[in-house]
Formats: sequence, C-alpha cells, structure tokens
Amino acid sequence: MTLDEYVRRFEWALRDLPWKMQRELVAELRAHIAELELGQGLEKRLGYPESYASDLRAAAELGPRRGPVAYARSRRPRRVVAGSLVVAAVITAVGLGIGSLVWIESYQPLALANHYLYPPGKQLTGLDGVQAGFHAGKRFEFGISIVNNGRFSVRLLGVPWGYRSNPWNARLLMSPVMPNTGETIGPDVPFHPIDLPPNGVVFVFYKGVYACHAPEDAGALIYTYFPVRWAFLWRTTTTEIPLDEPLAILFTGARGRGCK
Amino acid sequence: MDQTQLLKGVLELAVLAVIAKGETYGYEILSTLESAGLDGVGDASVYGTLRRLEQAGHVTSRLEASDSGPARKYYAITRLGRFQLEAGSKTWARVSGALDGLVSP
Repeated sequence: MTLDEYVRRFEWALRDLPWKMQRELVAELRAHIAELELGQGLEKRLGYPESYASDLRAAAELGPRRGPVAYARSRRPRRVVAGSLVVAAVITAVGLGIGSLVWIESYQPLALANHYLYPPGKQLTGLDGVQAGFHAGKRFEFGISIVNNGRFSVRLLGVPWGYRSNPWNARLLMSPVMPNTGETIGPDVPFHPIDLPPNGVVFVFYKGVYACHAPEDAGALIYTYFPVRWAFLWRTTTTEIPLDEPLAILFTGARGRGCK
Repeated sequence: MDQTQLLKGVLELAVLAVIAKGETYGYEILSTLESAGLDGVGDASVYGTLRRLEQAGHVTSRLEASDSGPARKYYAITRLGRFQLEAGSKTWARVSGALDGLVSP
C-alpha cells in the first residue's frame, strides 16, 4: 500500500469528523510516517488504516458524528459554501418560478374605460341603473370600452355570456378608441381576437335588434357586468367587467313578465 | 496477561510523564515509551491520547516547520497537566503497591 493510499483510507475513516480536525489528523499522520521512514512497511508498523483510525478515535474519544450539522462540518468549507449557493440558487429559482406562476394566474389588467353604449331610449333610474324597455325588432345597442391597465399586452378573444340567453339579435362589433378622449376612432368592424397593448383601449359593442329567444319568466333581465374572454401567455380566462350603471331590460308583455 | 490491555489504562499517565520532562513530539514520545519497555503501545493510541490530553487542557501544542518533511507538532505540559500527573502518579503508586502485595509469592 502506498503512502497516499494509506492516507486516503485513513481519511475516509474519519470522514464524519469536522473538516478541520480531519486535516489536523491527516497532517499528524503524514508527519509521523515521515519520522518512521518506513517506505512500504506501513501496515506492518501501523496496522490497516481503518484500524489505525479506529484506535486513534478510541484513544481520543472521537465517537461517530451524525446528523446534518455534523455532515456540514465534515465538508470542506468551500464545498459547503458552493453547496449552499447551489441550494440557495435552486430555492430562489423555484420561489421565483412559483411566484411567477401565481402572479400570472392572478394577473387581471382589464377594466372599464370611460366610454359605453346603452340601448336607445334608455332611462336613468338612479339607484337601479339604466332601464330599457324590450321591444322585439326595435334597435338595440350595448357595449363598453375596455382598457388594458397592465404592463403587458393581452389578447382579447371574445364576449362569452355563458348560459344566459340574451334578448337580442345583434352583431358583436369593435372599434378603436382614442386613449385620451375615449372617443371611438372607427371604423366599426366585426369583433375578432386582437392584442390589446398596455394602455390600449377598444370599444366592444352589440348592434342589432331586440329579439326573444327564451321567454324569461321575469319582469326584467339585469346586466351588471360585461364578460370578456382574454389570454395572457398560456392562461386563458374570463373577466366580468362591472358596469358603471347596471342595465335592466324590462319586459312589457301581456302579463308584464317575459318577452312574449 | 497481554501488556497492551494493561497499558491502555495508564497510557495517559505515561504520556503525561514523558511530556513533563520537556517539550517533545509524537514520534519522540513513542520512542521514549518503547525505550522504557512499553513497546506494546500502538502509535494511534499515543496520538489519540495526545489529542485527548490537549482537549482536556493538560498539554498544549505548537507546530514547528521541518527542513526534511512535514511540520512537527510539539507538546508541552500545562499546570493543569502537572496536577493531573501528580494525582495520577499517587493513584498509580497506590494501585501498583497493592498489586505487588497481591501478586508477590
């Protein structure tokens, strides 16, 4: 067994001890072997390196060290620092990743801008918002301007009303809006998915006629929000943009309920 | 009886006694013990005992560079070590005296 091999095996048998102590014991062994001038007869004089280490530990009362603190202390300091940096970098990356995911999942930059359109003949009713009487075939308009208050572009995909059957036959149109004045620039075009940049405003509205599709057994339908389907990165969601003034479409049928 | 087993109990006292004669280093302590007839002491046991004595404050150490090889670690006895040596010597004298009486024909 060569000197280096002997020392390596001795060091391995001490690997649980604090790194500085390991260095001292190895240096002491090297110095001792140098004094002995043994050449190849190391095991004959000192025994196997594992036995030598065991005897030394027994005499010095250096029992086995266990646990994470002992493990950290037994590592070379710069390895501990490098390992800590790697762990910190991984934790930071995971934290940033989770934070980004949470942020993206909660990102909602759309809001009502200062331009909206209610049906012709509407009446302001104070606390009840805006009222408009249903009349099949009569002109119908309803829409809002939407602003992107965020720092990133989002893609507007549509206006989903869910299960509700709306009492109108109307095309969904859109028109660019002057950001400062809120006035529509035109021309009005059929709605299609568009990218709305930061501070960008678009006017989205229905234009058509009242129509009865599913008789409601109610005196009115109340609209308190305008739903907008939009996408940002991989996330697609629907935001219900609250209306400044809720819209109530009143039915004036024979019974005063429903549209027929 | 194997001398090695007997020596384990008194090695600390023997090592302290060697160091008390003057500052010395591991190999020299081993050689002194062997010259005195304690040749069953393992090298590792002596170095382990030195480390334990140093931890207990009975000896101090210093490194001295060597021209021919690795630095030597020199050990010197402390005041506490001298008290320990004195107490250990008295105990040893009492035990060995008692044993002499028992084992003498």
